[in-house]
Amino acid sequence: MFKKDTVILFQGDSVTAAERKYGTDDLGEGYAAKINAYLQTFYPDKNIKVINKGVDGHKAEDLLVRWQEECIDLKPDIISVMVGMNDCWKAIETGYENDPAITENFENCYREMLTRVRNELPDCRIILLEPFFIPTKRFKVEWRVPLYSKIEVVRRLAREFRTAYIPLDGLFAELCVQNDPEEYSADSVHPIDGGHNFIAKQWLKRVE
Amino acid sequence: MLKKNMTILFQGDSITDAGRNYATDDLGPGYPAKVVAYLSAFCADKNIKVINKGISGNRVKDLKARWKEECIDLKPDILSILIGINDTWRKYDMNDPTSCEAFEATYREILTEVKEKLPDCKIILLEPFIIPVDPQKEEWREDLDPKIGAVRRLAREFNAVFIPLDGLYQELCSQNDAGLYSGDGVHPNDAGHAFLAEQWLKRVL
Repeated sequence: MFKKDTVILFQGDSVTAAERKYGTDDLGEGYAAKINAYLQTFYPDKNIKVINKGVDGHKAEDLLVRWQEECIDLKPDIISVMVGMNDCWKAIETGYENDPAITENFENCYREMLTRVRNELPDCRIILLEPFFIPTKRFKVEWRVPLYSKIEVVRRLAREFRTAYIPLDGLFAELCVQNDPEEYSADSVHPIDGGHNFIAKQWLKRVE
Repeated sequence: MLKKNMTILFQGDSITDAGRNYATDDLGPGYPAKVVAYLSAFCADKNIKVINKGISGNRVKDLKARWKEECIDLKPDILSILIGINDTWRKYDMNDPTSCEAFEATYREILTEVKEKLPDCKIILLEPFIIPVDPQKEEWREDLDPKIGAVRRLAREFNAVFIPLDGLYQELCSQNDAGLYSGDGVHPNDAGHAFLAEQWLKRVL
């Protein structure tokens, strides 16, 4: 499935950044690093290059600002995007209200990014990851209100651009039905090692 | 999970019903029949009995009304439930909403009855879903999403197997035309039922 010299770019927020050292090629300690470890182990002859450009706290509009330098110019063969949680955060902090203007901005920025990939990198495979909550004991059901509309946007864009789509919110829900959610996250938003393993596995299952 | 001489019961609404003949033990042409076709072909030695009691139009409160006769008394070893879309739909076509709290409470009652009377019965909860063919039905999400949240909570509470169908259909329809799987966004067609049966078998076998 992977051609020689394939470039895979991971874009997103802190879930993707996962403590990477900015300004270096470090992949951090999250799912991007795990996917890289797998690919280097099992496709040593393919010279696959994995890049992580996730940045803590970023929303779709922040990705858009750095999209030229940190996506298009890197000429990825596969671009994997997970964004949306920080677009929810204001609503969560200000009382769980859903603001349609925020969702609209999220959708416009996200669509602009995907349009530019399609126009400027027509052969690039796009993988969209659903933003998610992991139902730990810190989780509050009200947090879902702003997330629903962001998930809807990502699903709509996945159909519109015919991308691969990984329904992580549902997959984590399934995982946590018969396993302890605390094994996958401490705060419901950031996966810990077990959660990153799960994302990496779901990603490889669909992309490999 | 599957052992010799087990009884599998499918419960739900029209998606499970799929136009079965109520006068007989017909399984209809939907995902329960496809599960049976698979089991007959590949697990014939296990002598699995499959029952379909899905009824068109049912909401969770309708399941409750017939729960003794059409679930507990049948003593299933595996109980698979897909319910919820009519709890949402009636709000939009009949102005007869079911609150998420009422939905969850009634659903919890029927699952509690299963836990008490059939403690060894394995429960499989299927997430209600909308297949994205009809933009108008996307408005239903406001009502459906919290109910999906309720089913997920119940699945954890009752240690069920949970199948996140809403997300899985979305994944399927991101790179395939949604119209291949459903005409109205609620009822899967033959290919949509095949996908459902495949997801079910993947988790239960």
